[in-house]
Amino acid sequence: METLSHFPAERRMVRLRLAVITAEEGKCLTMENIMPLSQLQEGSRAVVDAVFLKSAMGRRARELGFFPGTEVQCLRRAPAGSPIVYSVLDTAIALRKTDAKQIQVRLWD
Amino acid sequence: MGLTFSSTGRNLRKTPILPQTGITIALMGNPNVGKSTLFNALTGKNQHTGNWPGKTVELATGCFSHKGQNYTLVDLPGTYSLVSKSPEEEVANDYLLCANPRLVAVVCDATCLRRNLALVLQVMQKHPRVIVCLNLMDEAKRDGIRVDISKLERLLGVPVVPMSAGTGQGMDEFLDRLAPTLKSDGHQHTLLSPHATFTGSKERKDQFLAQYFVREGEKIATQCLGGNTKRKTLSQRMDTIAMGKITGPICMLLLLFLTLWITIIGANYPSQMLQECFDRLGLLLQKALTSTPDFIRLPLLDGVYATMTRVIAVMLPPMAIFFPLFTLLEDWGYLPRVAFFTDHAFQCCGSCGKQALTMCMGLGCNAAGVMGCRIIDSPRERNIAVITNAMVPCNGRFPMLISLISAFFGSKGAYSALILMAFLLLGVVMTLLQSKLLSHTLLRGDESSFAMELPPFRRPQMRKLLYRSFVDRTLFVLGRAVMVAAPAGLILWVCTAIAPNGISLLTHISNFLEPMGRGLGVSGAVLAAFLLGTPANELVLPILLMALGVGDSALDLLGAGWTWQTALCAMVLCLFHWPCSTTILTAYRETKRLSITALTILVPTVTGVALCLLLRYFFALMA
Repeated sequence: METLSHFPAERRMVRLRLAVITAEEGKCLTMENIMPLSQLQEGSRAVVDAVFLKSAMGRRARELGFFPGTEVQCLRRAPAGSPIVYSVLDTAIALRKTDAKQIQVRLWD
Repeated sequence: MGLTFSSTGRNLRKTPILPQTGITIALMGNPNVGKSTLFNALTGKNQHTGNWPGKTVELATGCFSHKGQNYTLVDLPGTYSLVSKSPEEEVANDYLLCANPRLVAVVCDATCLRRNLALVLQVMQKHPRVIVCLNLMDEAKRDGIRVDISKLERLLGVPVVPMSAGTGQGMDEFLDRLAPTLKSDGHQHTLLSPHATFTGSKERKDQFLAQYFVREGEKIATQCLGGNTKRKTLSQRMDTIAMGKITGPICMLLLLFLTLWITIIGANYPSQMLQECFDRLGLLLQKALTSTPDFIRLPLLDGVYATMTRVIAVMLPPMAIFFPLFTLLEDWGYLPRVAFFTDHAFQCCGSCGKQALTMCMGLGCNAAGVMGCRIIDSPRERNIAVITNAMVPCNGRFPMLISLISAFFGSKGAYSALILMAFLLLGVVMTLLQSKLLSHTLLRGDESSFAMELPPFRRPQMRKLLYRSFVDRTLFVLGRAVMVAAPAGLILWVCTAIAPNGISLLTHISNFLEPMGRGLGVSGAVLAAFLLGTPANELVLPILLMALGVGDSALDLLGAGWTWQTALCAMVLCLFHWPCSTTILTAYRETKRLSITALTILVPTVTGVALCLLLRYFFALMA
């Protein structure tokens, strides 16, 4: 990865391939600036990359604004670590950690 | 939804009838954008408002007229979209399709327009005549958000009216623009139908639709928004304390303690004063009625009057203090934060944080709490919430707990508030334990997800708050209690007065239940009181006093040979026994399943019996 990162085009290819793999597995990656939403630090911003949540929760999450391209910010975690409050489309939404794990985000740069 | 006339009252069993006079206008919008506030402002009704999403779960209708034209306004439950299949969304969707209102007014929150426009676009797809109410303009202004109204109107192609329903600003413009919008043929579709452009599996299509409108709405909103939208608002600053990792739970417990403390302190003296006043009035009545025959005077005075006044004296002061305090927290927007903090605990027990909201409502009235369980999406978790709701003391049982605590465990305000809080927390712990037990045995299933909006803190409207908490809740709930107390007092009097062989009916019942009561560390009279108090738990203490044949207040129980152990067992039983008949009926109406209704009765009762047996065993060890 270290070597590849110097070449934007190749880097994009790798990311694309990984995106395909994750989409098939329905799981989020942790690499570079890509991570599951649940790992976003309090106060940092990110852009949603992919949503792997299924059926009803998937729909609900999308309605609330969690879909590729929207900007999210992690506001705070509950003392127990779940749920976590995110700011998305100007509203504070609390999601459980298990659900946030299934949303992949890219750090805001 | 909430503790209102309609959710606690006679109307509980009625389905709303939609009056068909005038032109029908449907109010739609995302949850918690002020639909009910607008509804109240227009119709002059007092539909329950509160700062938490999902509070309106039923249709409310009201009428108003403007320039000689009558309108019927229908307040629909808040929805994020029309694509999903959650219950409130189905209600809204069905209404739109079947009732076919002439006009749909979509209420938007100006402070989060980017999210709200999605619903506007979806409604525009389904309905030709739409008007957008841009509510909460005052809040947007305060937060430094500017909205270009004319541009928004042009981009959407429908009328947009800026307003602040809370203060009444913009109402006239809204009314004036109704008639032209109704006359028009309807707006032009500016959006392509997404159904036509997308091909794929049903699941993928649903997911695509859900985000399609949000994305389009956001695009439009971004073009019309100006000003500093990134500024930190007062509410966000308050959240750093109210929702901090350490300060948050402390705040929550402190607020609970304060509420109980103020209630207890404030209720003690007025209760005694009321009782004294009623006693004096009773003496006067006795003098006035001396000429009437005994068989009329005695049941009226010793039965109806005595029971009724006891219920009022015990109930009115705590309720008149507790309800405004609770409404204050509700309007301010604190309740969703409670759900946020407790969700993890509930998740571990196979339930969700929204159950905490229904429990809060149960503090007011268990029937309302059971009805409030509709806000929980998963049927399995909703059933758990319904079954365990009665383990939170409602306002009918609160006064009994308060009187017993004051009589047996010291009457110092803060001290008794702590004990009361301990009892409440015991109720919460048992609720969690039973939820866990249920979700591992009878109500097994997958844990569902939880996504909840945390609304910003809003300044409560004091005048409306006082009116609603006092007239709508306190007086109404009191009225219901008195209505039950009057006939119950008569029956009770008959039970005590009719005494063949010198033993009254009530004593018979008490004696029959005596062995069982002894086993639970109390007496047969207590069980008889709980049994006869089933129509309304407010009656339990008066019945108990009457059955034991002692004076008017819980202090007199000391004279009946009660120790603190007896009182503790009685309090545990008070907290955990079968719910009142209204709650049982509501549970059946909500779940339509006899098994769940039976569990609503069984689970708290078994809990109470088990705890009492444990306590008795413990006392025996100590002695």
